[in-house]
Amino acid sequence: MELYEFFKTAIQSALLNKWRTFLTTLGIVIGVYSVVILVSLGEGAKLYFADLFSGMGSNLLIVLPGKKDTKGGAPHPMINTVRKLSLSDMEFLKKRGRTFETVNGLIMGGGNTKYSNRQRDLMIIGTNETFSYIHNMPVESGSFISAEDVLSKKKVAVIGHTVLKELFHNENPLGKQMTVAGGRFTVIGIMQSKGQSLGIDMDDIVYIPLTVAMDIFNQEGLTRITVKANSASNIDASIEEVTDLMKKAHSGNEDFTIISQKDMLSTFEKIAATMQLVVLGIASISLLVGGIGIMNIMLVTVKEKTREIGIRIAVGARRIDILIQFLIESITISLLGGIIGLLLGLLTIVIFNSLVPDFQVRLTPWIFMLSFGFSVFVGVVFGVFPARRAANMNPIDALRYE
Amino acid sequence: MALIELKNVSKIYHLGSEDVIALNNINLKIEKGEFISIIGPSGSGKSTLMHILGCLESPTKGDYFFDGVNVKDFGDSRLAYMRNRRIGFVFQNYNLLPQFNVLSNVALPLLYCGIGSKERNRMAAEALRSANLTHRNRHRPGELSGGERQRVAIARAIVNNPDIILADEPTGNLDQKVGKEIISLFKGLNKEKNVTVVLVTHDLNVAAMARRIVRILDGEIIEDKENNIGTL
Repeated sequence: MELYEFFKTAIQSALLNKWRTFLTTLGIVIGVYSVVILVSLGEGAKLYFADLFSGMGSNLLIVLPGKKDTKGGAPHPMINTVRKLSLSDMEFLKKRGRTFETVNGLIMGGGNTKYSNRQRDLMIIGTNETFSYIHNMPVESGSFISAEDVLSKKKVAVIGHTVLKELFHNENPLGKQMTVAGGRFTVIGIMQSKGQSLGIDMDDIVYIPLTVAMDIFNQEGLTRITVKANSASNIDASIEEVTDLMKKAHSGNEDFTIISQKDMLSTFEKIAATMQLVVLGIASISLLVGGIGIMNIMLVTVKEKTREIGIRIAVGARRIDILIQFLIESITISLLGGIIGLLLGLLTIVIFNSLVPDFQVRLTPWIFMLSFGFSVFVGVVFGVFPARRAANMNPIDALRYE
Repeated sequence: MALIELKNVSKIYHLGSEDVIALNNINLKIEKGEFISIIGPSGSGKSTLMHILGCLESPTKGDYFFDGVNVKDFGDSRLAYMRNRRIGFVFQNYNLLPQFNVLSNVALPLLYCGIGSKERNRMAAEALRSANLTHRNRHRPGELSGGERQRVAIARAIVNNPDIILADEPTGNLDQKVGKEIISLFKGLNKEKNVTVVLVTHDLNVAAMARRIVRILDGEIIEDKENNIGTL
């Protein structure tokens, strides 16, 4: 008997009891649906974080004051440490570094800003000319803080889009005077919009020269120093070199922490891997339940078709033909459930993506293979027992069955 | 060479601790083109004999030669082949598949020998013509009379041009008139297609239609005689 005929028979049989077939598939529908949704969410999250990191700039090492043994998460930026990161540390790295192309110093704080009669409390970042390049954040118009501005402590400011909107009401701010933490600053540039990142509005920031910020905040220490390595393959060498140089600058003490993007990524990857295990667990349980449902119904079907089995054997079906017939029937039911689950999943994802444009749930091609494979697998595993029972029937008893 | 030859065939069922001898040392030869009746009361072993002849069961002892080949030791696939190509069954209760139409029912054996659907339908329609049942192809068995259903079953039995038709009480569920029509259909097929017919029955009138009558009792052949063909 040809495969196509088996499928035809299986579909005919499934259609004979539409409601029963439908209810039987529900377990698989729910199983495949949850797998599709969870896997796509995971893929979406991966993409989201990957975007996030590439938005930060690439091949970056972040030097933070104080020694932290844990890797991955950034320590609190305002934390007090014994030995601060100083401007001279930064200059030392810049002068001596061979495996990295550039160095950026940064100090973060909060403060009040004013323009005309409007004011706003927001984040103030003091930094130097390399910031824009290192973090892949170009200005939209005007210019960014220059080396000269930092050196001569010029009171200039570069603003983000939210600041432009809230404080300047979108009028051209270039050349205008604004108040930042009590001082008068000339606006020289507007940053390109960056949107939200991990819940922080990256456009609600004012950038001022590093040296000026240190004066305003009355701080000698930098919040962090960021190093951009020459290449991704050189990251480990760069980590080593930065460690060496920083130790030299700090008279041999390792009282600083270096975080690479790789560390951060690996943290998120660990979370993703855990999530995938959870998905696997949920999927296994629901598919197990769905599979048992299929086995149950297939046993009923075999019983109901006892006479038919006898007839088929009498007219020349081999036992293997009977086995395959019922196996294909269980695969068909399971596959039907898989297809319904997949379609419902796709529908949910499309609706979700149109409702939440910031976080795109991503469909991977292998989710199709996964749902397909899962359903066939369940159909085979839970169909074998009923199918064997059918194939091993005594044809004479089967023909007499009422 | 005989089409069928049973040599010292016994069939013993083990029911719990008891052994039931259904057939005891049967010797039987059936030539190609014969029309033969097997008669006996219920429980005499005639159904068991029929199942063995039809390759649905294997004998416990003895040999079964079909066209000179001993099928006693055939495996499942070869027995299935025998049932599919060389033997056609007709049952008392028709044994049609209710969910399929007449044409599909008749074509069922052809599914198991890899014939394409177009050719299957052609062969099934031809078999139905031979069984004198036309214009019913798209109906389901439930929509047919008993006589029509039995014609469908006969069409199914002959669709693959078997050497032999085994009919187990084919008129048992039919009234006399229709039963007679069915028997004459068998006779016609026997004559025109030279297909061997073995008719199992307990109805002496039906048995009398055969040229040879084998009487069986308690698992043994007690009579095997030529018959002057009578009328029903």
